[in-house]
Amino acid sequence: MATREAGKKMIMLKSPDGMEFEVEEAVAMESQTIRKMIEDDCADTAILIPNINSKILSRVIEYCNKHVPTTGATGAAASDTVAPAALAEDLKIWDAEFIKVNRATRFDLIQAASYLNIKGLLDLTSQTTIDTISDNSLEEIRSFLSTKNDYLPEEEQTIRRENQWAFQ
Amino acid sequence: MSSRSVARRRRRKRSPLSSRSLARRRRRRRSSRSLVARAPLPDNDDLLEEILLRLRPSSLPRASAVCKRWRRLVADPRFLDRFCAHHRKPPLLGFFEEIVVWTPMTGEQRCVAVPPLFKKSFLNGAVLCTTANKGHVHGACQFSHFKVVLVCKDRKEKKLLAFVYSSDTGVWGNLISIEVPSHIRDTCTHGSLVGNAFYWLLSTKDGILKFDLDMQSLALIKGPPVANNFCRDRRRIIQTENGVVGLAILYYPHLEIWQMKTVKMCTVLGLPPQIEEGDAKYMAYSEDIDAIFIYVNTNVYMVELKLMQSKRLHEGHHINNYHPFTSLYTPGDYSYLVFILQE
Repeated sequence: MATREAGKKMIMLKSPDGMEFEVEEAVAMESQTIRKMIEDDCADTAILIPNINSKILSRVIEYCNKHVPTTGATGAAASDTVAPAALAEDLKIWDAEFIKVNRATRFDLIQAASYLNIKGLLDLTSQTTIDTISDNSLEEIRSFLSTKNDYLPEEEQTIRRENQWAFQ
Repeated sequence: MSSRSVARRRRRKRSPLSSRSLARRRRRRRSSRSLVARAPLPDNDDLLEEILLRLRPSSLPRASAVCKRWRRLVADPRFLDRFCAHHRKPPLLGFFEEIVVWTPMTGEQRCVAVPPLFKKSFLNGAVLCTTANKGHVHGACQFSHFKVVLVCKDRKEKKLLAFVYSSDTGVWGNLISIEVPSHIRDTCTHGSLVGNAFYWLLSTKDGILKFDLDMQSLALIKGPPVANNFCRDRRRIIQTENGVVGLAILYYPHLEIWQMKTVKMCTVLGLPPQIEEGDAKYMAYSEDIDAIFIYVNTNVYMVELKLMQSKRLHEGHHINNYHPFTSLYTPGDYSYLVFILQE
């Protein structure tokens, strides 16, 4: 596994609150949205990332840094001797730690991953959200997500009856 | 911030974050978690869709019960396409790769591969025995002669599609299709065989899909108005006492039965089937003698519904209003019509 070489092309990402992040092009290109901008030559100096504040953007960059293939999953310590399965396992543990954030941050990350089109991050954030609520009761899900039940009692009963197996 | 970020990155370049400092950061994050109030989901259907896309397939029905917005999202055909692709296997009951025709009593089974077009679509289907031997009693049907009828919605083309498989030939017949409005999504109940046609209730309020086995054709029929959109588990298509299609709606403690009947009015009137467009309309109905008054081809006819007999009453070009009444003193006598003629 090759380690990151010096002198790689850098890209400047700007958040709307005025922060600038200098990242390697390869890291930035983990985002398909940014990749397209770079490939279309729209990224000469700095890329403004709208709607993603610096706090979230730094987390996103942290994720991309970890996941960019050429750096290796264990960063500078990566070597040819590390088996792919071990790398994957390491990434999984890292992801599990990374996603231990409060819900508001997680939703922000989903939004960022969706806009920047980072599939791995979108999978991680969305899957974690849905896994947290999947086994809960409807009432718990609604309360958890601050979603209001707008069904009439009769309507909800009908839906529950139609899909009784799913509620057992 | 810029320099800090770069600095952090450079630091990592030299040596990645030590596990201790990582743990410290996580602890900080964990401790701050409890301080944050419940966060509402982003008010953005696309994001919610991203989250719901990762539901376990078996959780999909539960999700639809959370609220109307969720139901709308997870019932969207576009979403279901994505859901299928995401889970890479058919997630819902009713998604078939293969149909098993099974006789529970004998345990006999026959597998029929589903035409490619039908995969990843809402399906409804029916099996019928086509044994024509004399003395054959349905209920003891063999696997030698049967037909499978499948229907589904082609989401791109806004069409309902039907295929018929015949065990005699071992192949699926030609594709039969009918254009439907886009809000008609799928069939929602088991089909009912009445006469020589299958009928399925559609998921819309009052739509019925008919598949005519003789004509090999699909048709959309408007059923009687149903008060509640959520009452599809209370409706069934039935065969009424006269062998005609009916709709039974359970409004406990009552069962409401609507009967559908098609009458060849041209035969009753003794007219050709084709008339100039717009030249046939209802005029009136008389409860007393159970007769309707209709205007066809510039003539007014009275049709007695019990006998299905017609009588031409009047000819006129500009007839607008009709008020049938029955004489008080001649019970059983024909009605009289009052015409208001406009020049």
